[in-house]
Amino acid sequence: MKKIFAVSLLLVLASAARAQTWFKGSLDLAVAKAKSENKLVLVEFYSGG
Amino acid sequence: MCRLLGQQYFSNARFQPFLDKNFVLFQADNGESMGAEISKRFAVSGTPTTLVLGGDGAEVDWFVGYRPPAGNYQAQLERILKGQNTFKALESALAVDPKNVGAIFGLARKWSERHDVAKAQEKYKEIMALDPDGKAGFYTDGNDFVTAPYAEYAKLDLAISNSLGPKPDLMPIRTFIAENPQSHLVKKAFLFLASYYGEQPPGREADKFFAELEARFPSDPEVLVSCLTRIVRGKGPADKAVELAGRLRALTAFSPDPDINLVIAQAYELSGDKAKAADAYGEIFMETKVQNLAYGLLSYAKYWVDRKEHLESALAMAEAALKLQTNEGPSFFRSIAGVYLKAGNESKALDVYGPAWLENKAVAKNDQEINSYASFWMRQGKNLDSALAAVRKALEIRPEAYYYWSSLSDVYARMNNKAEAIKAAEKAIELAPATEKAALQKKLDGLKDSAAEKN
Repeated sequence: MKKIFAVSLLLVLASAARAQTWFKGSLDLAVAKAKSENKLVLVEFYSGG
Repeated sequence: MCRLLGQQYFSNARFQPFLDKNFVLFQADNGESMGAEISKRFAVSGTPTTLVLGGDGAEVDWFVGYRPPAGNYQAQLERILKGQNTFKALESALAVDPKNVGAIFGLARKWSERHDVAKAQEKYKEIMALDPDGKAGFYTDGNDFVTAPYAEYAKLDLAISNSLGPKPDLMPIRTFIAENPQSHLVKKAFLFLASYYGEQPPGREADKFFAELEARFPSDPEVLVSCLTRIVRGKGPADKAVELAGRLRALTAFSPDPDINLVIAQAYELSGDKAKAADAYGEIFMETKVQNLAYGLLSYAKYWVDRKEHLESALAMAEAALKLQTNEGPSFFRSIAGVYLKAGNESKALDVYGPAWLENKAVAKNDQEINSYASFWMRQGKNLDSALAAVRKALEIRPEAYYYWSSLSDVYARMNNKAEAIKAAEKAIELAPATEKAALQKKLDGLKDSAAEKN
């Protein structure tokens, strides 16, 4: 059981490490961050229901 | 987040460094108040939509939908970063030259993709006013590679957008067909009408249209599939379905397509001919497709490995070919091993076609196949102990075969065991027919010379 938990935890950690970091905050703040880092803002519109 | 896009692209470690380097990522969920407000602000109506903004908050470009594989999505973002055909670049071009028809057309397509019919129509009308004769340039559709003047595309897109809505009016499309009989876009116009009539219940008008469509494009598989699909959906007439199915099979025999053969099978089923349905879309058909795909993947892998380009994809496709074709003959595994060796992955080559393959009793092998294994590794100068074991095995089966003695000599020579190489070459000459002796003697002389030089 412990082994299964450990493996699951590893998988969760591994997938968390892979997941992209989405900006938390308003779009205006995301734009300001992009400007300061000389990047673009990628806005992904989706329907989460 | 669109599930597929999330899984295939945003959660794919391969693309993370690119995203981290170039973008701040922001999600707008239409189902939540902030996301809905942002959707409204940018008039985004469909999802998934990807909108790229600059550091000033202005729109740089956008694209709608997600078409796997993930590389397609990546390519779109790379294009935007390069400023190729972006909304911003097109707007800049137009600022320099307000009569730039190509830029106006590009913007019209952008708005059309964004489902902003009014803005798209405005641009299309500008094109028709500026370039009524269609001389300003051409556009090639990336999906079907049909090339036509901007003005013709504008005319057809305007006709199509006018025909959409709660009360479809097909007349503008009919007018386009009548006024542009030689246009490469006539088929597109017909297929748009087919998509409309295909949804209508069978009736005089729809029947008349499909008869016209078939008469106009009697040898076009795409058109015939459209005609046949409608008959299958309407469950008849069966004799017409069989006639179209036969024509489609003949037209697509060079490279049968599972989606087309599915409709062909449905047509035969409609006529009660289950045997023909199974012939068109049964086990043998699909197994042949799988086999062909495996060899197609292998050819792809070889092509790119030879050029030392797209190596990651080439190896992924070699791996996929292996998964598809576990019961193939030795030449298949040999070719895959060759791909891995060219890519510098010897251990993977050995996994596929190494000692384990040679010793695997479940895989039946004759002496020729065993000798081919030995020759393959001899040429590579790798896995030579196993190559030696293989050629000895071949000789156990056929000890009188001079060519296996010659192979044995080659393997020993590659192992730098000149004495044994000479002995095996002498045996090969002893057993060889008169016509082969001279060539073998030359090889033996070479071996003796190199042995003497060494001493």
